[in-house]
Amino acid sequence: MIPYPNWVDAGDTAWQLAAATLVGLMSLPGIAVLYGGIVQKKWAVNTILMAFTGFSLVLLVWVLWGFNMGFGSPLHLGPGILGNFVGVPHTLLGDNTQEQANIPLLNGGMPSFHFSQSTLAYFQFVFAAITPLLFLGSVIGRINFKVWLLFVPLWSTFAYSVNAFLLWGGGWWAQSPRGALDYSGGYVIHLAAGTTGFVAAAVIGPRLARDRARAVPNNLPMAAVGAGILWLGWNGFNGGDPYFAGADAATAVINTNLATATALLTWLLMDMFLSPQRKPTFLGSVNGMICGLVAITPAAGFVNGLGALLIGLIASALVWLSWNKLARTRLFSRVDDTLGVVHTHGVAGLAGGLLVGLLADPHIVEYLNQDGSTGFSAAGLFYGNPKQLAVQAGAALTVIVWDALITFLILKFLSLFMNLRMSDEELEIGDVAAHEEEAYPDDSLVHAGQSSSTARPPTGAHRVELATDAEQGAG
Amino acid sequence: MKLITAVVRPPVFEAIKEALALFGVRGMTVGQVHRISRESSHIEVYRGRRFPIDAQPSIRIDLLVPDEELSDLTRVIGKIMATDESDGNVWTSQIDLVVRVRTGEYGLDAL
Repeated sequence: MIPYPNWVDAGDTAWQLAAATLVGLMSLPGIAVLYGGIVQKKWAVNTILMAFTGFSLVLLVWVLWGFNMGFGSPLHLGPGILGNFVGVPHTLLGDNTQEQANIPLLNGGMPSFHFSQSTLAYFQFVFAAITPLLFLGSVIGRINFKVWLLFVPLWSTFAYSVNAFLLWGGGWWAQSPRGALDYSGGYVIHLAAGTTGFVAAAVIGPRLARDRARAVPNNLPMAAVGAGILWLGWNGFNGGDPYFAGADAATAVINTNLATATALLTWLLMDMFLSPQRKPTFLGSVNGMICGLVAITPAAGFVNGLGALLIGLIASALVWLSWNKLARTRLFSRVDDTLGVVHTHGVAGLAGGLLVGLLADPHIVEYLNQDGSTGFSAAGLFYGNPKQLAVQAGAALTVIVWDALITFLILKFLSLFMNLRMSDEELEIGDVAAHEEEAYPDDSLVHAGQSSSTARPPTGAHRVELATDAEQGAG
Repeated sequence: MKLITAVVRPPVFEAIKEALALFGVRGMTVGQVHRISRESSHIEVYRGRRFPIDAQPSIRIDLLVPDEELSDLTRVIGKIMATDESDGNVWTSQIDLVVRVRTGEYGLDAL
């Protein structure tokens, strides 16, 4: 017997599954505890539960029809882009996913896979799953939980699948003569999350004015745990996208870390020398870190080290300005994007996607020919290919327009038969109203007589006595 | 000299603080407390078990005032508390002596 057929490479398979797991960890617990820590105490449980449910919902959608909409055979909806817009919905459940992985439109355009279809499906799932968790940051603090349970699968079906197909599944923007570049999801994931979050925040409406005015975080060390998992998890996010455990995977990993470190320090220095308070802040550095991670994502395995450094520097400075200046403009202050996802993911993803159009270096090789010569690499404007920048802008515009439209339509549709928001009473209370749980319950305040099954249940007289005592105690 | 003490729901605290500022009240002592009352009990559920919790997170305000301002300020605080649906208490007490430690001032001068 043999453990696997000839086309399997144990190293490539092992790396792909490890990379997928790293990306999964970015969602659970990464995003869950990062967002759970930076929201107000009253919303920590709600936020964490939305992260866990979003992840679960996307897996079901992905296996039942989503994966093939993103990476399957094209659905012919019409001429031009319509013919290569999205894949045919088709479940993975009946397929033999132990066969060699295959993305039909990329056959011949890249080396054949060294792992199974289930490896590819799971790897791509964790990307599909993190995207709704990112735009969750825009709608925290008022979205009706039931709306979340419906919005995520609908959005994943109609928006994410299209983003993925257009850029990664061999769809229209990926095809020659366009060849839009998105190494790991600067557009498919981050620009999409920023756009969707902003539109969703506008349609659903703002948090309570009182919550907006005092939205202080509840647990900075917990946010640090989440942020750290995001950074290192990104080694799988960008390092897994060549699909092979080769030199370009390593290039992507080191570029990712370089851009991120630069971006974190850039934001920190801007806080120290340009902000009104002139102080280095931890949460500012986390924002900078995320900008670097997001902006290098579309470029990680296409640029050289200097390119990565520049992307981290420029994206962080741009988003710092967007966060501190653009956010004060009328449009941005009217839309209540709770955690500012439109800046740290939307603006940073767009910046990275355009910068790869400038900085993609043809000497950074993703795939080789048999003779060792360059099989696939990309060139940006600075390397004699000005067209790439225009292509990058076009792909960005498509993602922005499509995802904004779909988000608007799904939420308007859901609003026909349900409230997009919790009631004001629930909003005032938070987690306890929505879930009957709170992040940090205090056992000294539990009415022990009823909570413990072994204790004698309190009589009516006892309860009256307790309340009377309390009233006397309070005045 | 009097002490006004009010125990209010957190959403009302800001309004009270702002109203008192209009009357020139510069400072007060504030604490996060829990108020036990029958009206505000709720249930929390952890791993399928139901826990009745009758303690409501509240803000306690302690405010030292000259005698002649007592009734006005108590009324202001009470009015604002009445706009909130939940109940709460405001009470006053007699204060014998206040010392401002930094300056050594006594009585009304120390307010």
